[in-house]
Amino acid sequence: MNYKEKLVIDLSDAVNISDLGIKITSVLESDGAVNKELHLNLGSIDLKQSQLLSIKALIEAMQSTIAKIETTSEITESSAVGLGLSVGKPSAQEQKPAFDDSYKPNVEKSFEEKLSSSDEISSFAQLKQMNSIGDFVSDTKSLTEVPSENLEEETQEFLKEAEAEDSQEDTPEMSKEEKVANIYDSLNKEITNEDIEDALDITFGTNTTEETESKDDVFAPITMQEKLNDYEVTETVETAEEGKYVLLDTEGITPEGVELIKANTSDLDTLYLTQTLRSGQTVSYEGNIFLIGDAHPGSEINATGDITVWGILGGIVHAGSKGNTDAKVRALKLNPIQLRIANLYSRRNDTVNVPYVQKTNEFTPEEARIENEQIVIYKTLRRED
Amino acid sequence: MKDIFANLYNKVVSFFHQTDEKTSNTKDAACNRLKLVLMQDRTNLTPAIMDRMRRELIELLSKYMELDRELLDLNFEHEDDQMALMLSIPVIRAKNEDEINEILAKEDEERKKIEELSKSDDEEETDEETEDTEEETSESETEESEDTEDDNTDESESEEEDNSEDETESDEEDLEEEDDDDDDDEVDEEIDNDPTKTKKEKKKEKFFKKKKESEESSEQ
Amino acid sequence: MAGRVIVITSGKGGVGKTTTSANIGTALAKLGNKVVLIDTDIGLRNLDLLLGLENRIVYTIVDVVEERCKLKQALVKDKKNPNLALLAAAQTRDKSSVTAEQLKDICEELKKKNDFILVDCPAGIEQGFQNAVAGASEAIVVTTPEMSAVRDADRIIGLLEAKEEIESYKLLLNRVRPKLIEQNDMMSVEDVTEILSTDLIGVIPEDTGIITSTNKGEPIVNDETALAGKAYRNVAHRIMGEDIPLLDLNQKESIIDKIKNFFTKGKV
Repeated sequence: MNYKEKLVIDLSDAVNISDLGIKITSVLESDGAVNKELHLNLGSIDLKQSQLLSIKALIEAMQSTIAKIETTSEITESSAVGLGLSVGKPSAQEQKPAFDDSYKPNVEKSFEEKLSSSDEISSFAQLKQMNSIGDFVSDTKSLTEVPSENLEEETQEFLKEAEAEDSQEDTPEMSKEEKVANIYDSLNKEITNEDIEDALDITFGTNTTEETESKDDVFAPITMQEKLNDYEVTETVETAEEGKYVLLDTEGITPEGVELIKANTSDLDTLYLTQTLRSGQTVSYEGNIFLIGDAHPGSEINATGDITVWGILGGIVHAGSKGNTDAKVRALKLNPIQLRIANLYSRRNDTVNVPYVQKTNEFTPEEARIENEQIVIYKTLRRED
Repeated sequence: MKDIFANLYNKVVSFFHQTDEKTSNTKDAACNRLKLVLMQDRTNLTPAIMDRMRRELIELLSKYMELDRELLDLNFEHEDDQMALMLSIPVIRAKNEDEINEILAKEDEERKKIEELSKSDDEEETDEETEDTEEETSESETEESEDTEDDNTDESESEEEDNSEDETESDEEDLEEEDDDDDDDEVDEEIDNDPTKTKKEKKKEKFFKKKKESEESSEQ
Repeated sequence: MAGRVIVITSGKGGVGKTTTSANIGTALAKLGNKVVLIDTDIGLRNLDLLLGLENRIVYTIVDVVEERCKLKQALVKDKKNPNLALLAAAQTRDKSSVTAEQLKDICEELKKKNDFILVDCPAGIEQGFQNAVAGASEAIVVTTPEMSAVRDADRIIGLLEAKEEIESYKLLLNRVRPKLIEQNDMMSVEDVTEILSTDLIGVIPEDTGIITSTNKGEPIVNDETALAGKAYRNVAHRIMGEDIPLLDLNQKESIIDKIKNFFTKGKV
């Protein structure tokens, strides 16, 4: 089974088929939007079978597939059934999405609180003060993006990658994000300000249910955090095929005599490196390692504390190598062949075949850490100005 | 339109060329070069020494039969642990007994002459034992001699006239002398070196003469 | 069970040692043998990439030698074939990290539980080569029909003959291009075997599929349609002692084909 990322595209504001086409194309043309499974929210638009077929062909031409179609129109529904696509009605929650101003102070507060109260202020938070990170802000608990003041005029692109199991639950949230993404993309197509406002009205309806949910869920729509991997240590074949990283069968391969501890990594010394780490080169340090530059595949970084790479991380990393389960691995692009934290060893999924990452100006920092005996990767998506 | 015709013309021409090109292929060149290189690798012989060995072999054999020197093929092959020297030369004509005797007699004469010469120069005759040791160092010698050859080509051509054709038949002796002359005066060395170059040319001349003669005789 | 240890070597780099190791290993495993591939190219490992196992390596041969792990732990099982395992080289060390004796011990240990141990040898004739050959009793010399490769193969054969442990060696001619041979612009199979006077174990045609299969991290023997894959499968059969004729790579063009080709080319 191929690992495909899921992407929800909200097209409920499209008025005709050509509008649909433009919007789908603009989403799929954005970087990294290939090979996705698409959930299309087609709103109330009526599509004949031939029209739907042409949209399907368009999507397939861009190397993605339609996973599901949501529509309120019966004509479209019957067309989709005719084409053998899975169809559903958009949930009520979705039609009045929860992107409300009221959450803003809430999140900002929680972020500030963390900044001031938590001992675990990471280099990310510090970097924010350095002003070099600018677009994205994160703390160690959850990579949180704080909405800026002029949110209404700005739009964000949210790409939600989730595993299949979660997708159903997440659908409402994701679709909201995707609505935003969709609007952003339509912006690129030079839509007038009125259009945006109209669209924003639709998208940012009120829904207070989110805020009453658990902390993580509250963050979900705005933090753009992604759980790329959520697997049990005892690797089972089915789940292993779906994540970006798969835990290796650690039985007997973790270093013996390593005691698992949970220690604050900010107390440790930090080794500061400014170089490209090439294949065959290793860096080991008792403490944190901060590398400015890329770590190429074939290189190795071992640290008893955190590892932060200001560049593309492509080699093998081992954070918390003496058993510190609180250690984290961060990089502008996390793409290591193996990612090891403390006693957990994970490898890149075979179906994710990207040994070399193309260099662009748009990186979204990622962080890997241990949560519930699993290595979880969080990704901060960049706000588009 | 012009392009199309030009294109078509080129295609037609190249089509006919394809069949012609088969005569001049790069494979044989590769095979031959490789064989030579491998021979050197396997035997640790330098090209200069190989060339000399070749020459000496031809001289030795041509005493007894007429050979097509251009087509000589010398190769080392190893089967299992054994290495074998493979030599193949087309024989143009086997010499009859009289001819061979004649050549051998002349050779003996030559040898005597040389012996006398060297005695008159009060030079010590080198033993066969030393020959062997000197052969090892002969690589540098031959290089030296090649250098001197170039300088002395003019002289050698004139000297060549003086030497009788017979001398070529006793090349092997001369070549041995070359080694022996290591301790000799420079003058001697030059004289001995010169013929090595000219001998080649002479050999060719002689070879063609004989070929002509044999052709004529066969025509008659 | 006493397995056979076969070293795959060439002298010259880039002739396809690693590709050959990966493919023969996979083919032998597919035939039901238990196979271990050992990458001895320490510091420049690539066998893991060809097998698509680069993300699974935790311990390497250097870790085994330096006793940071057990030999069994360092064996990386193939994704598809449980009969095939890889003992990877360390990328962050050099050739001196392992000695010939140590490699010999590893081979002896692996011999007990496996049918075939294929040792992928690094290019050159230095320490890395000496190490790789140490534990082997058989050798496959990979070469291509190019002067430089044949010359280096000749040198390697000479060195192998000098080794008492090597009982037999066979030649594998890789990257053969029948078209060029037909045009007399490439040494033919016969030319090479004649020059090297060595027995052939197989002839592998040049195949662009090799590149794509490397990209995918899957040996070409898994591709049932590829000619090179078939050639490698035949080699595996021959290693197991079966008598299989060489693949006919010279599907000669008849005059009619030539004329046909000429006209189809002319159309453009």
